[in-house]
Amino acid sequence: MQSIRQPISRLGESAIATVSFIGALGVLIGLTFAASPRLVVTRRGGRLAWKNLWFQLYRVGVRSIGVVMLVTFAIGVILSLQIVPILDQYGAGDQIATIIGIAFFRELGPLVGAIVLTGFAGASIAAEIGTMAVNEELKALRSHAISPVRFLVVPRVLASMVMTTCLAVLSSAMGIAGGMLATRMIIGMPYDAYLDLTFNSVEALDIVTGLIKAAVFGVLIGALACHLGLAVRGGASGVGNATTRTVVISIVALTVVDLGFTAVFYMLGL
Amino acid sequence: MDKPQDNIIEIRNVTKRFGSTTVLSDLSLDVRRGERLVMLGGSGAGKSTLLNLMAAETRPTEGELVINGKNICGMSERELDRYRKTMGVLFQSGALFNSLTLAENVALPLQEHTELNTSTIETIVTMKLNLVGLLEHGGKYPSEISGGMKKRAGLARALALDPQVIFYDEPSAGLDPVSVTEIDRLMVDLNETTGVTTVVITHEMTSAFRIAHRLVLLDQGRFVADGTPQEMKDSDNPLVHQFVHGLLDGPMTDRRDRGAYTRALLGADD
Repeated sequence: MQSIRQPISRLGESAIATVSFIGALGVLIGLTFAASPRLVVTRRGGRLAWKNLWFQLYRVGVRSIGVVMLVTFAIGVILSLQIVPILDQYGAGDQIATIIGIAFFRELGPLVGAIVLTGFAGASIAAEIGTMAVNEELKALRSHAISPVRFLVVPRVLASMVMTTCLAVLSSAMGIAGGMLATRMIIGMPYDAYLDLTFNSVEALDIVTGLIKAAVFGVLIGALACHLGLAVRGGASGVGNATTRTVVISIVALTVVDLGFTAVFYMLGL
Repeated sequence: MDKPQDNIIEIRNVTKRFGSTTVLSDLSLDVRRGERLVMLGGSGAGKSTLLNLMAAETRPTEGELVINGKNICGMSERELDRYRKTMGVLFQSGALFNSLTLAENVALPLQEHTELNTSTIETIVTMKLNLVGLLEHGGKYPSEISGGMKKRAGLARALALDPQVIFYDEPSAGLDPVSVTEIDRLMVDLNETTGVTTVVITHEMTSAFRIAHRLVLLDQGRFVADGTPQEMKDSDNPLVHQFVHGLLDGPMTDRRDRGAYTRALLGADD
């Protein structure tokens, strides 16, 4: 009996832990958006919040641009190299423009941009806030009646949201550029013909759904990193643990949420 | 007995538990306005927990904590923030924000909680840094200064909003004897010139006797002695005698040895 009870009990415990984690993350996201308006409507606190936001936008997004461009360009080339020869057998090699265009605007642009951002910014946010927790800086903030959510989480989550959206556009463009270059090399398709086909097949809805996804991914990355950073206990090992968990949980969460979005959009016929 | 208005902090039958562990047990203590109170106690005696309670970082499990005539136990976070602005905390590490210069650290509470313009804030920051002898170091980052300077900068930040009470958490920890004397002198000077109530946690006896108007000794979550430095030195309470004179033999070590022996006998010791 004991041997049956133990795994069931462990399963129950991990289910409770997962639900509590998601609940706490939801609360943090709620508090973040509740605290965000102060950024624009008040002078007090607002002064620093804007400064923090610009700094985070630079740190979260600008520094990731090079890597995102390189990765998505390479994915565009790879997709083209793999798919064009097969399509070409059916005389439809030029359809690669449609495939890559839709794939990047709807899926790959937001997802790849977000995954790169997780490794770049998510891990660094978790490590930074975790170190602050270990150094008593979070206690110091509270002792000065400064909410860590407003001071630390809001600028990071908003920066992450804005930058994943921008990176989604950039990565889609780079993916298309990669595909275009490779297709030209394989079947000699002219650049203008490739671009015409891309923009004829990609609809505004594809771009909008991609951008909505990207914004949600950004909130998720920022909030997860902040949540795990704020929860750090136990010195340097706690910081390392939070950093690793941020990357792993973020990638799983991004994929699951992307699946959810795609399923919902599919069912709604979008 | 003092009139209520003479006590800035009144701790009434406070108990604090973490799970099944009782850290503070039915404590009562008055902190008089303008006094320099030193709280002594061995590791694990409950000093830091008591400081966290007084600094509104945590709430008691039972009892009342009256600050300036108001019980803060039932207060909302917003009301507690009003109280937090009237007190300053110097954390063990200084807890400076590493991404900000010393001047920016001191300016932070002013930028967050006042409508003062930039030049007024700069003037106040200059005054506070001058008060702790760091005027020419305002542009440095915490990583560029020594441990003693970090504590002094932390003190300047704690003073930013002109608090009524300052809590010092082991101010001499990790400092060389000269820096300890400097910090002690600073605490006494600030108390004498501004009248700020000073509550210090330490187990550095030389420092404690140099600073204190009054000392209390905390042991196993209870106060076991309360008196002037001379009264503590002359006390015939074996626990006070052992702690004050740093003796190896006495009730504290007896209890520790017996506890270890009991655990070993019961097989609870790993």
